[in-house]
Amino acid sequence: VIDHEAPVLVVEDDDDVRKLVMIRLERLGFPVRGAATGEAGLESAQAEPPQLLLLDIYLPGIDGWEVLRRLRENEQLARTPVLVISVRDPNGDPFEVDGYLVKPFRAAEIEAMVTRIMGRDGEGIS
Amino acid sequence: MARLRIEGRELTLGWQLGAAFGVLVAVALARSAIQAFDVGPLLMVTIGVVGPVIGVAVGIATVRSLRGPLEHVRQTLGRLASGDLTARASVAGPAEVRAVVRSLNSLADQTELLQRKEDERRRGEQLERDVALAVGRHLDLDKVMRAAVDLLGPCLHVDRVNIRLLGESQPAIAAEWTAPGVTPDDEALAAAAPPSLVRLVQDSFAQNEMVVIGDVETDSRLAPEDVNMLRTFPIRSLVVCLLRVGHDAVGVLTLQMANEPRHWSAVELTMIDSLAGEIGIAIDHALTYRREQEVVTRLEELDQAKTDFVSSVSHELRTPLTSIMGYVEMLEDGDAGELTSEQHAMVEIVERNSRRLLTLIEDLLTLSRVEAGRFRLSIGRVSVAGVIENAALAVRPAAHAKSIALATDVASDVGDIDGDAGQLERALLNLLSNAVKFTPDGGRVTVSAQNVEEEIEIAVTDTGIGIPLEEQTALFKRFFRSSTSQQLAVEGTGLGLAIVKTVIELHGGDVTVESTPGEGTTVRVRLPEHIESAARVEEGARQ
Repeated sequence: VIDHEAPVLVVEDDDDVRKLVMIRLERLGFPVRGAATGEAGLESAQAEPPQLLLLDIYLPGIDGWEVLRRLRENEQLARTPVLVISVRDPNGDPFEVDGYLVKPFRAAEIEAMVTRIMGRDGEGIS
Repeated sequence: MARLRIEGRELTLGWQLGAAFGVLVAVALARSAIQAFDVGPLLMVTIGVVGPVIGVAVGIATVRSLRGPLEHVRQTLGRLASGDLTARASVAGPAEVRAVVRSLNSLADQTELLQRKEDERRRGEQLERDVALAVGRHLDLDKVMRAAVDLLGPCLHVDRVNIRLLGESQPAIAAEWTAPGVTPDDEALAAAAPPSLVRLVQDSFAQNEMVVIGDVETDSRLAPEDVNMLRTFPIRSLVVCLLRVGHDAVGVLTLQMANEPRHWSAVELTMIDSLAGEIGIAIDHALTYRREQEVVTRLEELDQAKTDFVSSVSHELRTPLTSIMGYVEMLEDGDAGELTSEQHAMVEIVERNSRRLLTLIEDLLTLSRVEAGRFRLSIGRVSVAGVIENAALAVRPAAHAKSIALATDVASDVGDIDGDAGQLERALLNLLSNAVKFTPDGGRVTVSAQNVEEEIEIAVTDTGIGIPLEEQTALFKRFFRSSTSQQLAVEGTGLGLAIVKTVIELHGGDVTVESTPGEGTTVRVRLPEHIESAARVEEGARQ
């Protein structure tokens, strides 16, 4: 069950991009949390399980795939929908995710992706 | 039988000669006796009877003393003539016969020596050919040296053969052959470096000579303690020879006898010298080849590094672009308040140039992917008319700004083809924007499609400045920019056509250009309706 009160978590090391994405998500009406590293992101997710995770892959310290691996190992967080923010096209990635947001992206793309994932999951429940 | 008969006849002849001689002696004796002593008839008769008897006896003795030795000489000659050069006659018989036998033996000695030298020379030549053939067969350094020592060892009947390479560091043994049961040479000798031997080798090499030591035990050039050292390896006899190419030494060839002294003949040494020449050349070729291989590897690594660099830079550029474009979009959306029309125009310029930058990054990324063999098409059924429509739509604003008439003309029988819609559209857009860019205001750009010999031909024709003939072949190379585009300061990176060509070729098609400077250019793209197999696309992508 999607908790619409739960935050959308944005893990992105570039401050400007993280802020941009967070503003866009706030405009869509989501409560938003941000993290600049994978470790911080995991901490935030454990403290406050998100309804959706937007995850950059190239991160300082543990990378996005490692974040995803640890997330999937966590029973409580394993089923969190994940949207990967990437600089490249998906190609031979180690994990299946719910979508890719390829940089640079427009506001409309974020909106379409998030709506699609949330909407699809909503249908799954009903 | 024939031989016996001949012997018989000789024998008869001997008897006859002996008898005749006896009679002659008897007659002569009788005559002189008559003249000198006036002997009586009785004596005459006696002499007449005894004379022939003596004669016969003398004949028998002569034949007996000559027959044995001469027969032996005859047999020896026969053996020599039939090729047994070791045959010698024993010195016996009368003095004259002994002299003949001695001459014969000396002649045989010389013949045998000559023959042996000739054999040795011929063996040497054969070995040289074999070595040249064996070492010349390889370009791999180790195989060259292996082949050389493996051939030399058994052919020269030595106990050890090894090759050391000169150059970089301490010349370690690079290849060695040892006779069965012989302990291999080891690095201990090189490490021990017996001073007198080292000096001898250095002096000899300085004078362009090889080192030849028949027997270390008796060679006065070696110090006694060094001989002791050699004895422990053991090395009894050795030849050390430089492997040379012209004036450059590439290595050292060493031939060793472990326990036995050896006389190294002049012929052998000449042969070893020639062989060293052959081996030197082969090693030099192999070294050259290896160096070239290393250069190739290095260049490949550099090329890979460049590709990785381009790829990573392109990726890195995308993050700041995300911010630029994202915040500009927010400004345009009025998120920071309504913009004045002047502000709006400025933001639009930022936005447009961000798009340009992005296109450039995309092109660089695409090319780096092509080079890394990671460029893949996602093939589906593509409407040619649709691709043309989309590309024309995208370029229409630019054409409109220059009052260029943009026309599309798709024949009714042009349907769908196998292809990657996104990449085909990108290629066509590239061609169309080029046409618009290089066509003066008020000109015309036409894009047409038709079926030609079971292929689809898409032609983009403009009334632009054209491309000089000598530049037309370079047109599809990366970063190529025509002289006219530079003179006219038309913006571009020279990547567009390289990508067009790559995309079209991955589809199994081709691109050609016809252009007349001052009149215009037509670029023709031919695409097959069906791509035979995915494998082919994969193959193309890896080129």
